Amino acid sequence: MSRIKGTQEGKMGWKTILTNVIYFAAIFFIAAFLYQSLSTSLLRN
Amino acid sequence: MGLTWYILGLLSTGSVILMWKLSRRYHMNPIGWSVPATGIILVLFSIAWSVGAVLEGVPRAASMGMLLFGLPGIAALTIGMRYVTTKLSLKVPDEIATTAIPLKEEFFQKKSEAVKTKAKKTGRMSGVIGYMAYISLFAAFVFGLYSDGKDYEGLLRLKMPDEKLVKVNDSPVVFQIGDKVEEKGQYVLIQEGQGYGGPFVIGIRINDDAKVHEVFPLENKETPAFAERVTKARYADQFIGKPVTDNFLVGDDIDAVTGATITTRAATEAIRRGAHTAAIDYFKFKKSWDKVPWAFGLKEILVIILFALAFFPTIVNKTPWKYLYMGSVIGIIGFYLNASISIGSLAGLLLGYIPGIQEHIIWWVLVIGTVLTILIAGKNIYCYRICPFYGIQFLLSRISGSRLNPSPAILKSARLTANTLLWASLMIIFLSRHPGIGSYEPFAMMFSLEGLGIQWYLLPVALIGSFFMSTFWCRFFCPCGRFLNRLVTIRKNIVIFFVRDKQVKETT
Repeated sequence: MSRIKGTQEGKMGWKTILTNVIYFAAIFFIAAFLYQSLSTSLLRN
Repeated sequence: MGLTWYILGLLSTGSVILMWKLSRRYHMNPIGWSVPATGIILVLFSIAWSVGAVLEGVPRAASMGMLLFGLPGIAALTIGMRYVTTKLSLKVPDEIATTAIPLKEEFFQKKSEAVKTKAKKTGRMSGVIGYMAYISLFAAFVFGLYSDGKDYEGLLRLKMPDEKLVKVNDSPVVFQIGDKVEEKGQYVLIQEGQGYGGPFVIGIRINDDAKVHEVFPLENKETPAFAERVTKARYADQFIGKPVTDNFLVGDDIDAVTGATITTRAATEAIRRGAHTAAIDYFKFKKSWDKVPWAFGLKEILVIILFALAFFPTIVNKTPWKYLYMGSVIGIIGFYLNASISIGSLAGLLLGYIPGIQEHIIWWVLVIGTVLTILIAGKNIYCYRICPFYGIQFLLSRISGSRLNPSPAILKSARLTANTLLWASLMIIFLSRHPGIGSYEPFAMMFSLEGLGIQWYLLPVALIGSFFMSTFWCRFFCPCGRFLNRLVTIRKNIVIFFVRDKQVKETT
């Protein structure tokens, strides 16, 4: 059970790792997109 | 590429071991074998495809590969695994399964308690940060307002370096080419038309034959992918040689660029205004062109019906109506019209970029309708009802049956993260006064398959995330939803403030 649900004994299960990776990937791409926008629109001038 | 093959090798071995373990645990049948195996093959293929495409510098192909092969692969794998674990009988009785339920409850109870405690703490902190965020946004708004003012004159001179330009009018800006003459000279007018993202500024050259001779797009704030379509297409050519007294109406004497109707309308509006101003003011023609007609057709009727139906709880909550409604929203507002609201539309509203109602009824119904419903009734009817991207996520999560979440530590700070992203997006929009560039939602590209650079990576991540975590995008990232819900809260607080004030007065 702990292996499936993850955090029970302080260990992280593969499902939690997967969801965390997806979550951080989304943050990374949004941040990259915003940085791209910032550099093309504002920092250019 | 070598590393990719190595990882693929490891994943393939892992998959074979997984299937072998399953076959030892369950009485496998052909479906139990074939569905997960197909899923595994599709996923591995999509990884190889995407990495190859990225290395070749074609992110769009990588994204398409992940969507076309990766997502069905994950779907097949999950459905296959669900089938095997729920429908097929065990070879060995599973003792762990009997203790699973109390453990599960305990786990979730602990998790929710942890989240609640942290929520209280972050609540106080975010109060202070919240005020600072509002102040900085206001400052950015004011700064953007005063720093906005591109040098169109300079841009125009760059485009026509050999001509002598004499400014003869300020509002709208009109230049005469060559020396000033009283009548029938050659002119360049700078005019703007309102799109969804902001003004589309165009320079129009009209010669002494009272015909349009050149159009120069000077600036636009449309979604870059759509603007690119309009400037790339031979859109501008259709104006050359047209008399200034023509109608200049999209769908009448002007053809829209497929898939970029709104941007086409904005650009055409600018050219129409330029030509008609010149016709009256400089060539002394009488008004002989048609008025801008109301664009009221099937599309507009469908959007009004869908918007109205969102007010009926039975339709949006009860099966089978719910699925029928969701399907219509995905099909019509998503794929057919690609009219979903984004943070760009809402920020554009704050910046005063409001397109004319005659040609943009759909925008008015969805954006103004949603905001007015919040202001009047205090209800956000857009999210979880009209939003087609929610529909897509809901269906994905139904297919997977998975209700996963990131780890509790992440959940605790999820709200702060989402608010920070919304703040960053609004800051960029206000400072640049360009709503399209700060709008990071993948909606528009999901339904039109048009995007730029990094957006191509965000869409698959959002969809794969929604597959595993229900309403992944809405809960953790959607800036539009966050903005609308924030508006609901602000309205509620104002109402409470006034009601309390009234009650205090009544008691004293």
